[in-house]
Amino acid sequence: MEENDPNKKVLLMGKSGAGKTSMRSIIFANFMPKDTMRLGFTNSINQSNIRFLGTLSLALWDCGGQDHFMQHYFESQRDTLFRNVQVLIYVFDVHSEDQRDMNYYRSCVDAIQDHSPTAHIFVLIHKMDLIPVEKRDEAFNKKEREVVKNSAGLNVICFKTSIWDETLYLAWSRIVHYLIPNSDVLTQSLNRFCSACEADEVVLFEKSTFLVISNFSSKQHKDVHRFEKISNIVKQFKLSCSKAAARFKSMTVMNTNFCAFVDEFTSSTYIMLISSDSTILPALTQMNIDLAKKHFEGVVRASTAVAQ
Amino acid sequence: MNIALLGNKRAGKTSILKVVFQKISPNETLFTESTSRIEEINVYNNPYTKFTIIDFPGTFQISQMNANERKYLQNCSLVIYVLDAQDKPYERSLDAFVSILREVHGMNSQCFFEMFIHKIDGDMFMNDDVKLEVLNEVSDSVRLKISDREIPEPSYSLTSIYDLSIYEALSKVVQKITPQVGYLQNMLDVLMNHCRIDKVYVFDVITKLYIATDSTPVDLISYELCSDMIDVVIDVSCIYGLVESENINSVFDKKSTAIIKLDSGLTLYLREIEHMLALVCLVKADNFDRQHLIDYNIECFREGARKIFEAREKWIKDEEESKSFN
Repeated sequence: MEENDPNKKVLLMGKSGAGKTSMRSIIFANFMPKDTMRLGFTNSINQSNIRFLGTLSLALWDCGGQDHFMQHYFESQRDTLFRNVQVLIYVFDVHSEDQRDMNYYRSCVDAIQDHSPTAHIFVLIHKMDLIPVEKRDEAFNKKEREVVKNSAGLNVICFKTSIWDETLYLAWSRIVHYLIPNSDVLTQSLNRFCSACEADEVVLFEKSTFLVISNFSSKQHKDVHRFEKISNIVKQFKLSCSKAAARFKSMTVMNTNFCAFVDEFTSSTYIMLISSDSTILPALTQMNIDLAKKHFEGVVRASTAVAQ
Repeated sequence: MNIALLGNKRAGKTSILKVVFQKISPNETLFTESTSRIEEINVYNNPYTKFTIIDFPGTFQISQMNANERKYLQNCSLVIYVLDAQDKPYERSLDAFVSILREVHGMNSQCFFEMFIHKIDGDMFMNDDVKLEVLNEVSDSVRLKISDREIPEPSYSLTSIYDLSIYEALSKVVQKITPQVGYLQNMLDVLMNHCRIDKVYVFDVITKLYIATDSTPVDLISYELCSDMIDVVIDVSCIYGLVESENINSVFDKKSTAIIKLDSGLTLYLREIEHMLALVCLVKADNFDRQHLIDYNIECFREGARKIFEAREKWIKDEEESKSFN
């Protein structure tokens, strides 16, 4: 029944200064990465309700990470805080060697086990940009081993992230994927739409965050992180549009080898369609997208609907 | 065509070049080593964007220049003097600037002079009034110093590597030394009127400098939007537009086109017109109903521009031939 509750409780935890509020602001509040320097520390718990994909609502609990707050979480607030949690996101600063951090994580896992045993746990090894490129994998693997050792046998997914590149979008896209009740419905419909348009691939993005919701590819592509890159690129451009007091609506980019469409799709999503067949006229693809909008409105609603 | 870049130590000369021509992030330029000898940067992205920038070391003094330095200054078309706006008082730098003006003008009367009042960012320059005050202070002071001599008035730009102001200033510099710009501008005006375009730029895709625009004033917002659009086009093309065997330069090819629509009723339209050269225009959505006509007109512009540059190339070649003949 917790799975079907349209209010999804997401806990965002981690030591003070790990970058929790920064990443939340970039993903959900359209901050530019460089503007996050101005953020102060989070006092106790900052709760925000985020509309996602129209009907879903994420209750995001951004928990300030200073030591005295942390102690409260595990003592007086333990029962309320860790109850009904769908997703726990724990953020580690990759640089920090502080053993207390790992202990807090351990306590979180224990509390989750007691109060919300079905919750998904994600660990973000953050601020990867501070580590030279060639050493990133090594640092990440080391931290990951340590995290797994401290997870009491629970299934944990680790990501390496940085606010300065697309890794942040990769992690959050995966996370929200777990919050969509019927994402299969969406993938199947995209599959049909993709073959009807004879497209290479079709990707669905959530409208305000530009996180990837679903995708279907009929062709292999060498770059596995391309969707996150697109999220990042379009989001940056959306921000520059807002400086010009306008809102981004749609875009078409092409050269000899490809044609890409990014367009407003349903009331809560954007679609991206890639076609490499130059015999298909762009206008035709555009018309197909326009005609599919109405149908997908229903599909998206069905995918987020709560099973009765 | 050569551009000489002069200024005090740590004024930010090399940083400017790194940010604009080598695409290094502004934050990383903090660790730039100081330039110890003259360095040349050759820019040749397409026939329309072709020049050399000569980066002088900050220790250079006009009163003690050697034969080599003299030769560079005699042959340059434009001198940029970079003034560190955060390094007050300016008095000594301005004296140095005026003596450079006098000296270079004496041996190279065709040369233009441009001052970049640089590092106009950070806490000191939060509001525009302060920036204008500095601009007035500097230009008044320079005018006083050169009042009685027959020296051309330099132009001034307020610049910072943290926003587009440095790109705009350099765009204007490049346009100043490209003699064809006047013709291009006329042609762009015609194009703009016939296609009911609001604003049109011709961009060098690599540096994102605009080498020509129509005669309506440039506002930073539209320039920034167009410049960001080029980023989007290149980034997306890098992901999807490369067939395995191709190198990175072919992401922007003959068929590169992009349309971005905004809800304010504005449409951004980009087309390739030459190798690594893009025409970007802002059109109202209502006027963008007949894209094929705009395409046709852009094609005409492209032809015209090519002829102008060919004529110039031919003229330079003839000139050289007649010289060697004599």
